[in-house]
Amino acid sequence: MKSRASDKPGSLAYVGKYLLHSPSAMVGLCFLVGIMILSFLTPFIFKYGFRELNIRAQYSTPTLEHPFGCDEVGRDIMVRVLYGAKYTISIGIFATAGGGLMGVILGAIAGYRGGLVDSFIMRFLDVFQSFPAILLAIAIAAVLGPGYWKVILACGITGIPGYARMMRANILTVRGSEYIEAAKSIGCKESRVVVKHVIPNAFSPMIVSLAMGVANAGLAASSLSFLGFGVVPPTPEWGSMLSTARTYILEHPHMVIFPGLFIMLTVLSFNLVGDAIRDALDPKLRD
Amino acid sequence: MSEHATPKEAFLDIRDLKVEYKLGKDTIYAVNGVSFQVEKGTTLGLVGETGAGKTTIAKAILRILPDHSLKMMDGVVKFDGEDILNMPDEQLRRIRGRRISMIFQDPMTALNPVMPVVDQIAEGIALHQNKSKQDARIAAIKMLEMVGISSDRAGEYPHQFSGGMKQRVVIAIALACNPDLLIADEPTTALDVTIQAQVLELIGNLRDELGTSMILITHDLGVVAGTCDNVAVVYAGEIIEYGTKEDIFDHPTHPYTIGLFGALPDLSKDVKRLSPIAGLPPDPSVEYTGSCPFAPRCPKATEACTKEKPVDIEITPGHLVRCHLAKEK
Repeated sequence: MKSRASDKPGSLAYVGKYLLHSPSAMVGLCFLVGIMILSFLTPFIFKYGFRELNIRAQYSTPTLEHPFGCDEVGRDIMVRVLYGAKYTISIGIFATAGGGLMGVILGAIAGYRGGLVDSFIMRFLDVFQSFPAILLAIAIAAVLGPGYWKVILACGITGIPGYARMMRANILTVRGSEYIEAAKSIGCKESRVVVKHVIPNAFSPMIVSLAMGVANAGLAASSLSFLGFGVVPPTPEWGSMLSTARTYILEHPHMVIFPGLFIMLTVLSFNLVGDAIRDALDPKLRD
Repeated sequence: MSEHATPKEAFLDIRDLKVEYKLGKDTIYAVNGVSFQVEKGTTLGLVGETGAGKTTIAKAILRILPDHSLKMMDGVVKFDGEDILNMPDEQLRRIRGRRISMIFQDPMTALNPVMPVVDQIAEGIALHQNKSKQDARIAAIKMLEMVGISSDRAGEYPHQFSGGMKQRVVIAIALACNPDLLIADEPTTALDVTIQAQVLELIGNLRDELGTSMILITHDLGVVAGTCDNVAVVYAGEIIEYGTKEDIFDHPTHPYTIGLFGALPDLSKDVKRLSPIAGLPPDPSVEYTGSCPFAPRCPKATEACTKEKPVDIEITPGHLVRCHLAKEK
């Protein structure tokens, strides 16, 4: 693709245009947007509410009436899965945005300043990283107690050390490169060098990792809910649905399959979109 | 361009410049007491082996050596009467790019990969000439055309250009604000011979048009012969021989300089092997205070060479040689 001066690469319009022309990104994006819209509209579209019991339809396998079947108290699984989408997706996005922002800031400071500041920040983050991620999330969630925003906080904090470490490494590579000296040699201020030359070069490898991070954070949120530390029933978070359904995995597998399938599709969609954003933002990969 | 230069002082006056890097626990003595002057409108060639400290001298003039590995920088660098090394950053930024600019050695790494080339040229123009973004862009496109790149490629990224074109972009960036002093750090090393000639011609034409002084760093003696007025031969972070082009080419005196010329292939004779200078470049982590750094490789070394460090000897006016043997001549 030949870039013209008019569509400035790096601008939102440019990335948007690129996504529109990438089939795999469109599939992912349509799935995510579609499921989000449905999630908010479920009360108006479907006959059944997400917590409406129907004992006669208990354990019902998929039928026309209940396309995904029903659960142990006869609630419609399709309605529940769609309604629950907004939790997993929004937790993933918010947790990654928060954790990513903190990580990028800390990593950039550590990498650019170096010395004692670097050691202090990185050793502090080492403490966090010495726990397995999910264990740390569980510990934080257990301390804070269950709840939507608390899950976001737990998943966000868990992500910080990874992003900080990656950003720091990128900054270190970029900081030593000759074009940074060249930028200084034409009289750029240090702040300009950092904002215009260091960060754009250090950030582009972060984008795909952040996009994958959304998927991971969503997955972590579901895991927390599965373990009972996250969004609690009767809110139909996918993880907590799985947690309830696992008791019936042999007799009524449809109860497990659908929430699981949607977790998988959501993670896949985020990854597809992430790949496309990376391609759109990195001019080296464009041609 | 700058009328306020004091007549007595040289345009660029470097005295006893020393630069040391830290490398783990070792100290790298990159530049050890270098002094030279560049007059207005003249070109000085800095010649020497890889690792002799040529690029470090160049970067020290602009004070863009990396802070994190720099251990010590000492001496005097006076540009147009102003002390560069002790200048506040704010003042230095107005000199960088506008009055002194640098052509970097490797065009593959000297351009920001995520910025269109026109913006990289326009950046300096916008910083120094108080122009709006749009005007700076127009001026940048003019610069691109001046170095022979058509304006419809202006919005492209560095990776979309070939090596020779990238080098042209680097040159355009350096010349964008009509600098008074141009430091060209091996501007042709990364290029193949045909492009080399083009690039040198380009730099030469621009220099003649704009009346720029120039420091040309190279290890190619042919390039020096074609472009320079004065030549400084750098070895182990020291200038071991300094003089006009004629001094150096017609009367090379330091054994190292003689060796450099001896290593050139002579096309008029059918020689099977080149005659290289024996040995390897000196270890930069050793400071040569009590001996000549070239002594271990020198075919004419005497006992004095290993016991005492030679000082500059002026054999003819303006032709300085840092060698004990030059005394006898």
